[in-house]
Amino acid sequence: MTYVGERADAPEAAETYHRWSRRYPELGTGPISTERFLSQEQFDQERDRVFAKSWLNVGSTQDLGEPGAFFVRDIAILGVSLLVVQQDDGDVQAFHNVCSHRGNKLIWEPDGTCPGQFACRFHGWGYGRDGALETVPDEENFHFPDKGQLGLVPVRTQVWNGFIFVNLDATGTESLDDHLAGLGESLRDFPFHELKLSYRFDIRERANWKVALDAQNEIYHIPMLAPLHRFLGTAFASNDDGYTRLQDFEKWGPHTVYCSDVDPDYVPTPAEAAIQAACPDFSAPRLPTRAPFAFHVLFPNMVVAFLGNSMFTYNFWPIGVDETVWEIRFHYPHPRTLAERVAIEQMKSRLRDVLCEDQVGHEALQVGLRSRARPDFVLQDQEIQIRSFHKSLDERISGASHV
Amino acid sequence: MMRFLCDTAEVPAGETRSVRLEGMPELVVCNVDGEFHVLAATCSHGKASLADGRLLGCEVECPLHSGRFDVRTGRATRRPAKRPVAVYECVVEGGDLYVSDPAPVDSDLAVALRREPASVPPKR
Ligand code: FES
Ligand code: FES
Ligand SMILES: [Fe+2]
Repeated sequence: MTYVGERADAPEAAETYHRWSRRYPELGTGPISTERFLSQEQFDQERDRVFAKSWLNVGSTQDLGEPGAFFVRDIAILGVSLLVVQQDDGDVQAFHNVCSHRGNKLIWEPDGTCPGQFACRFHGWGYGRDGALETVPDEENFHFPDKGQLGLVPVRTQVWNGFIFVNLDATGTESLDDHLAGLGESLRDFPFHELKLSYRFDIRERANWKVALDAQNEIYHIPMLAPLHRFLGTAFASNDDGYTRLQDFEKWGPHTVYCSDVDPDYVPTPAEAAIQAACPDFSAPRLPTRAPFAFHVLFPNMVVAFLGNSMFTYNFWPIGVDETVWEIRFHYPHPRTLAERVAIEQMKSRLRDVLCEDQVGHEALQVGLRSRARPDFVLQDQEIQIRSFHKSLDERISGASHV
Repeated sequence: MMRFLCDTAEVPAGETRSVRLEGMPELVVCNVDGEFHVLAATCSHGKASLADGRLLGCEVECPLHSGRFDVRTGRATRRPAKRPVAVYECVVEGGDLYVSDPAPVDSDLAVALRREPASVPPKR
């Protein structure tokens, strides 16, 4: 099968440098400041102008499944706790997870199914799945005329391809579709339903959220980071010198995708060869992905990436200037045989171990940045995605791209 | 034209040794369980001498980024190294090791060899 977007023409004969910066001159070539990963002022602006006003992915419909199913999502940078509930008509609605009586955090469980009403632990106020206040113990002793005004406070909620997004800006008018724009369009018909959430890891790390995102938002490090990254070779084409080369990079407003082709010269490890022999079918591309590896950054803090027949998503949740939760989810097609089941388990363990290498790297980066040894750092052409992200962030903060 | 490289006793099994000969690039002699292999020592990836690296089974590991090469063929077996390094034919005579030809092994054959996946997994 061919990949969507694959080009028929031959690869460029001669290696050309600065391919992407010539294509996107507006992204510049200058260094990137150290302070943006360290300053509280920068962090506060990101909170107020970006996180408080953007569509944020808080989970997927696979986390729910039946009417009344819910999960709680605490967003530390915004100081909010949300209760995300599947409604009787299948829609998903998020509410502030706050009781209208005295402001107690309503639901303390991470997830579950609503047993008729959501009951507050403090004085027993009860709410329906639609957020309406239904039960007030000793109601006559209160002074409000109508408990209809005291339902849970809803938060703007929209679902795209099974991914649930919320927007805490009650006055915002941009729809999720408008926000995702060309990126949403490019994945509109993707068969996300064929991929099942199989594993989730929430990694708390001592690094700024942008350090973690930037470190994932490039493949320059893939052949180098030892001992495991370099065995990801199958999906990461490089030139004759072994340096990765992006197959494609595209930008839609603040969102980006970068792609990498397979490396025909890569020799599989014995374990890879054994897995391929056991389930050859599973190694062949099954999904209409843009490339063997395609890494989409959904501004500001989500990643949807395809690697072979699997999908992984990231959410980078800032906790403080130098603390982040990196939420990782692996999705695989439903296994058709026991061999495929084993292959998925092997892929999961392998990817998890690779990401452990990354995590150590994120924290080491933060240590280096925090020393303020240099006022700024440099980026090369294969790191154009990082430039793009920081430019978009600056534009959001300065209001240049505010909608 | 044979050229003397070193006394085989100077390169114990599992070890490497750098040899510099007039008019040739730096060479690395590798002793894989008593079998000798000679390669151009400069890593194809960067500025490092494979003679400073570890020998792991039939692979030599670059000390700078841990790229690896099959010492029998010169083929790069582990990233970030990708291009092969030249290999030289050698002979042992009376306890001494010689390069049999100052030119590397015929390049067509060498390239074919280097493209072939390693059949012997390296010892760890
Ligand atoms: S080589 Fe990239 S951070 Fe040191
Ligand atoms: S210099 Fe040898 S692997 Fe990079
Ligand atoms: Fe990585």
